[in-house]
Amino acid sequence: MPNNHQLFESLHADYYPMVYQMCKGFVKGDEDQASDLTQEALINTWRSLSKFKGASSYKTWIYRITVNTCLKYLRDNKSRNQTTIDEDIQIPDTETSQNETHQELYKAIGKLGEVDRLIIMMVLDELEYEEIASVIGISESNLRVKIHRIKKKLKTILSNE
Amino acid sequence: MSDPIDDLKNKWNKAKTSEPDQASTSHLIELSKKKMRGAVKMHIGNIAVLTITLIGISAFFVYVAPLKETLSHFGIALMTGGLLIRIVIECYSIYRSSKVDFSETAIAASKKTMNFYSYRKRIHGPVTIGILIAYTVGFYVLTPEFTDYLTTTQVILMDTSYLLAAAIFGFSIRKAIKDEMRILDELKGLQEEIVEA
Repeated sequence: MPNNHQLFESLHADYYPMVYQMCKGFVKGDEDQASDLTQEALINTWRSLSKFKGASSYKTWIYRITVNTCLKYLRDNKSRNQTTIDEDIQIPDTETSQNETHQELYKAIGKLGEVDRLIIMMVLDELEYEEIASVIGISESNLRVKIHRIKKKLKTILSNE
Repeated sequence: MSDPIDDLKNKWNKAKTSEPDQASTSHLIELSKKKMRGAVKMHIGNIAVLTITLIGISAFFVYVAPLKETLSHFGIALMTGGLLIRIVIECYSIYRSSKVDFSETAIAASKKTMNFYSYRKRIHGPVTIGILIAYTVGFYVLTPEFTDYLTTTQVILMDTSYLLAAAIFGFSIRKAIKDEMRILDELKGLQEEIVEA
């Protein structure tokens, strides 16, 4: 299927950074786990390609696949190792202060619940509320309430650090 | 004082500049095929083991020990029937697992996954236990006719070794049910987290 190959090539080029960033945030900045998770999300994208009906943009569609892959990863990971994602990520001493800033970011996001973490990452990525609602599958009004609550939680987390 | 959420947004955008190592699409496609082959092999492996067992048992009772009593025929029917049902269930499970769609909304995908695990819990629970009981009853009702051909020691050895195998199998069923129940609980928690405002 040469068309699917070409399409996948272009989606991969356009959305790899977005998927990687989301996965990295989900696993609290752990690069190895983020790479594995990104790979998994992209494999799921490839497998789902024939199911794409054009009801949403490719971006929203890939967000859905990434969110579902992250939630599945968590489930599978818990059955293999209860603590993998829950552990705080240790950045090596040799890395720069830029990494420390990133670590602060991932640490703050990481203190949220899994679904809240995924939602806030889409907010930070400036995805429209309508699109986030269609990724998660809840109403926009429900999402607004959720985001308000998540932001409040995040402010408390950040002020305590 | 700046808004902490805006600060977080800035950090998020800065974090985007870190260049990840990208796996090529051809590598990903190859990996996808490899994983698919692995999953198919595992499913086929399970079905193959069950089918070989079924053929082996059937062949044993046709060619090696053609038992004559009605009670024994009933026992053989319970044993082979149970295995046959398990094979059909295994095939249906492959079909059900292939229905998981990652491109659905998170709530729809988690509902479907939950349905799948509820089904698995039923399969690993009452259905498999029922099959194991039927197989066990089938096995033990053969004992009276076996005593006509085997020594008492051989029959005792056969009956007790079956108990050991059944205990191991029972333990693995228990473990599978516990795993499925844990995943179901997690999925329920996830659903609640998604819908709660």
